[in-house]
Amino acid sequence: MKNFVKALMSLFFAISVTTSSWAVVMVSWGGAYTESQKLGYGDPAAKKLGIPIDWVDYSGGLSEIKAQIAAGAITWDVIDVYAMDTIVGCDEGLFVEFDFDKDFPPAPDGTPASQDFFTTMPSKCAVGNILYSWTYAYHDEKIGSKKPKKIKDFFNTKKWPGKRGIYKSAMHNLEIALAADGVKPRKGGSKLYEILETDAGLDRAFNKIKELCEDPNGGCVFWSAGAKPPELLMQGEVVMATGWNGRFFNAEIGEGAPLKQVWDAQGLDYQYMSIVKGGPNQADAMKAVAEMTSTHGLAGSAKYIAYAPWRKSSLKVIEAGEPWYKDGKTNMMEQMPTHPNNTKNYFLVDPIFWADNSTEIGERWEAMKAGL
Amino acid sequence: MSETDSFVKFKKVDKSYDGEILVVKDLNLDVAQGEFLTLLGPSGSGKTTILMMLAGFETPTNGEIYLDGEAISNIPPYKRRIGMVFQNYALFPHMTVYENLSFPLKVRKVSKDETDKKINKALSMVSLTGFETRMPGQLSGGQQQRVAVARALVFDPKLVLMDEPLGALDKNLRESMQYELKHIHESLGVTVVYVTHDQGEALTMSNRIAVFNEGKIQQLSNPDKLYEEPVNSFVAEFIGENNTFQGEVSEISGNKCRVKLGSGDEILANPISVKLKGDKTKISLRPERALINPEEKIENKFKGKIEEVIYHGDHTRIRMNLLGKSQFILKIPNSSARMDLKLGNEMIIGWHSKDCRALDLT
Amino acid sequence: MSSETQKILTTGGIPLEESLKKVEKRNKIKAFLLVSPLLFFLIIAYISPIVSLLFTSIDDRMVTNMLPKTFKAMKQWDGKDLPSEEVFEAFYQDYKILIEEKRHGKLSTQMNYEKNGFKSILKKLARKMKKFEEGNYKEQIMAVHKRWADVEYWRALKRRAPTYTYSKYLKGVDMYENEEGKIVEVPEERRIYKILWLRTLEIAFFVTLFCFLMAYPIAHLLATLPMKYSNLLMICVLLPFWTSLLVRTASWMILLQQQGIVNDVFVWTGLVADDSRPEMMYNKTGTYVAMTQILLPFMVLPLYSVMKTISPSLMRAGKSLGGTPFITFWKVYFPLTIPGIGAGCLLVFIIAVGYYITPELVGGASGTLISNQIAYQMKSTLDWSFASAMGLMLLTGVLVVYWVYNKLVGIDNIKLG
Repeated sequence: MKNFVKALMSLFFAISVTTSSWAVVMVSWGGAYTESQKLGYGDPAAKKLGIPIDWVDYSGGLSEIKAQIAAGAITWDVIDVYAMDTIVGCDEGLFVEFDFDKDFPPAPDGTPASQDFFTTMPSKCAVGNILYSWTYAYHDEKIGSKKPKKIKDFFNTKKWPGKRGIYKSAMHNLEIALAADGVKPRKGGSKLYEILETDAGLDRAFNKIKELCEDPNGGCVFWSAGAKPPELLMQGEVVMATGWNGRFFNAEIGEGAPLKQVWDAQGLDYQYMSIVKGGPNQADAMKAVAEMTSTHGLAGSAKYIAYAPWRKSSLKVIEAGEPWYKDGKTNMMEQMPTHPNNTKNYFLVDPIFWADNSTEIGERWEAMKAGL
Repeated sequence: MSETDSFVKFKKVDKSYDGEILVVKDLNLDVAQGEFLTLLGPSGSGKTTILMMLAGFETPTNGEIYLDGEAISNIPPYKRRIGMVFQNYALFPHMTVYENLSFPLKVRKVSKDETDKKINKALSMVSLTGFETRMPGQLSGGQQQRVAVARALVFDPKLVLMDEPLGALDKNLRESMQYELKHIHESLGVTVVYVTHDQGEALTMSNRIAVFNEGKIQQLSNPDKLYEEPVNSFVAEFIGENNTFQGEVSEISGNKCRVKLGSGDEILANPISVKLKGDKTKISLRPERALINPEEKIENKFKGKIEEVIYHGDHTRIRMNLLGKSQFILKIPNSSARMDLKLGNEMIIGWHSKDCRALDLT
Repeated sequence: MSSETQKILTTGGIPLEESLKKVEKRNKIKAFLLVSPLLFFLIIAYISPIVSLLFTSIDDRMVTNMLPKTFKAMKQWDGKDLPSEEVFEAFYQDYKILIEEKRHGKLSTQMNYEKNGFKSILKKLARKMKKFEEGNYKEQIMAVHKRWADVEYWRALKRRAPTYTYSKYLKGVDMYENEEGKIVEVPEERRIYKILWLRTLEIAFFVTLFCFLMAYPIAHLLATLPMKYSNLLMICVLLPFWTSLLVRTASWMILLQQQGIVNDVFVWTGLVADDSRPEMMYNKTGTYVAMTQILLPFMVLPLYSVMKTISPSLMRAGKSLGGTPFITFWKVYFPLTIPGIGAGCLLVFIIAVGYYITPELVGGASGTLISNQIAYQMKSTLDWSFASAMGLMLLTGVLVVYWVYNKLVGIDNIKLG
């Protein structure tokens, strides 16, 4: 029966394969993000290499690619994934493992790729694409004269009564809870995860969130789509909301909304590219990914969105080319999550911790939400 | 009949649904206690509307209806104590025969014993004793109709309305049901207002018949009078069969008039709706009043030619050409002394002037 | 036919019964051949996914086959204290082969489902194992990470020994089988699925109820209004069908949020004060409102199709027999609409039980339902066997509802049109 289902599924996929099957199929999240990728490095790379790149939207998760591989009819070549997904995907054998310095070009000054990227990769199947940040923001006109500055202020419902918008899952919320509770993240945030590994530390983080959400002066609105936090702030549904810096940037600079971001205890997180094992154009896909994640490739996408390139050398390209933003007047460097002004107090979201613990913490998180 | 002793009284009732067309026009009608009155007419003549106004499902646009001396326009249907039998039976399909019959008793809070007694009586009256536990879906059309009748009578209503109750039954069943309904009416003495478009049904069952057309009563009288003496050509044509001739009155005196037909022949007729010389008229003659080879001194006597012979079992119909009209119908009983009815044969046909009614031309 | 009666023969001399059977058999085969493509399709499209779902949910051969030596050695282990050196060595041998075959990643994923924290220690072990010396594997492994010295992790490993397991079903109701083989509840702060099941049922129940209360008068209007109005009303009812689910959900958010249009109207009319605007979004109220509106057509249509067949003369008959409008409605009209009510309620309930996008968007903290978890396990953790188990439990739940309905009302008493 399994073989039969397999055959049936391959039939469906075979039908869905279009005439452009010789192009590299790049799967990403759609919207402004895909647009920045396409304009920033996709189109230039395609032009340079002579390899057409087709962009396909998906909504995250590995179920589709797992199903494609199970059916033996793979149509995707490159996937833009979360850290956790590259780990799971790599472990499951869905992705190609990289030989990093051989597969990716060095920086213009000759620094090998592995040195040029900010941190090591969470799995052998991942190459960094952009860095984004979890920050929080408020409505500058509605907040009153006193402005929040620290992560503590996000939890201060006496000074700033009103609801808070937070992400629907535990990820990043527990970290900022600890940071607001007085834990110094230490460089890279390792202290936070050390504490979260212990039961007492987990309780501490959970209690802090619970306190905020149960506070009659506070309360939580959970968001799931990235477009939601700026919207909630603009509509006055919440006084402060966590969110992704690129979205806040887009609302503030791109659309001129009176929103202000607070970078204290920001959580740096990454987006990766992985190549599907046995994809239809694996060799071309490798070339395209190498070109897109080159120094100039990564710098290109920052023209269109406030997410930082992974390569240190790309930052130099941006700095030299300021004002880099597509409107021709906004300096991008200070909008970058990696800018020194923004990284006075920060942590790196730890994919290994979350890959390890997301199920258990997730269950506890849902149990807490259910009790609210 | 005075206003007080009529059981049901329509007084100057008008009805319009859309504010433009009057479905019922200036209706004045009295029904006596215990009477079986039939409203007869083609579809769209307003007869069902009258029934619905009486039952309380429609409100008169103008005028008033009295039941037992009481104005009922403002009484809701469920307080009128009127039993009703519907064309499609309207039995409650999810209830047994017993439950259907007990519905009107239950809402009146009749005791259980009393209910059983009444239901037994009603069912035996329609010869359906023993059918209490059946569902309506398990009954034949005739049985369903009898249940519907029993249900309309079981709570001893003041008045029973029947809206073409036999319309969905086949011919034989319909005829036997007619007699059954007639007997039930006679034995209970209940007042019945009956709506139908079937003249046979109306003639068989009714004490009186009101013939409707275009919202107006054309004639209201007992069955034999209606048949024998229609007052206008609509009634004459609607009830029974009819031979007609069109013509102009050339002479009129007393209860006789001379009518000149288009063919030039002249007929002596009974003037009903004509008054003056020169009036246009339609002459109506029942087929059975035309005599074959009549006695010498009959007033009207003409020669005709047989064009068609149709055998009908108990009688034979003959279509002949008479006075330039090829649609003249004769009915001849099939007695042993059969005449020579052959195609193309010529015969002398005659009739009395009183049988031949000069009516309005419409 | 009783045995005493003589067998009736056909004119050809064959017993009538036999001859009849023969003819009927031919007809039966013909009928079967006629429907066989459909039967085939049904098996492929409906039966086989359910069977494969069932299989996926209990199949654990992969882990069993990955660690054959370990599980063999573990048979002697009582599960109380840390296992012996033998077990550690067997595990070392098994894991080494997995690393060589690059299959160790799959093991880490699977074991992490069983016990969180497994993934990192297995990865760390894979890195450190290259430098292991021969002998005394117990100490060497325990030195890699403190969790390897935690008996809980070894118990978790042992739990994965059987080829087939129903542990995913236990997990679906917040239970697990402990080392003594007893089925117990998980610690309180991690009990989530029971809450979600109850919440799913509660929301589905109330959405069905609200749909019924709203759809009944609408359907009645539709069935009794003259054609030109009822067509217009029908379009209004069906309009949500033609609008994207997300658009509809988003418009409810705009209407119902605290700074939304409905609240603005309340404040404007002085019904509520500006600083005490009621919360109608991001809680259950939001879920009920949005889902009721979205599922309303599924209730209206079966009701309408049943009401359309009820002759108006039945109501008239009821009234003419002396029933007040209410009694006539309750005793005559309502019982006749029960088939439609049954169909509509079942339909709405079954759809509502599986809903998750709308509740997630408008339900706030209470917006997570059991289907969200299924989707989460499908997409994020890739634990398809757990997702299958929960999917089957949901299906079973729906079948139970169906069965109860059949007992109470009778399934033949259902009418979709």
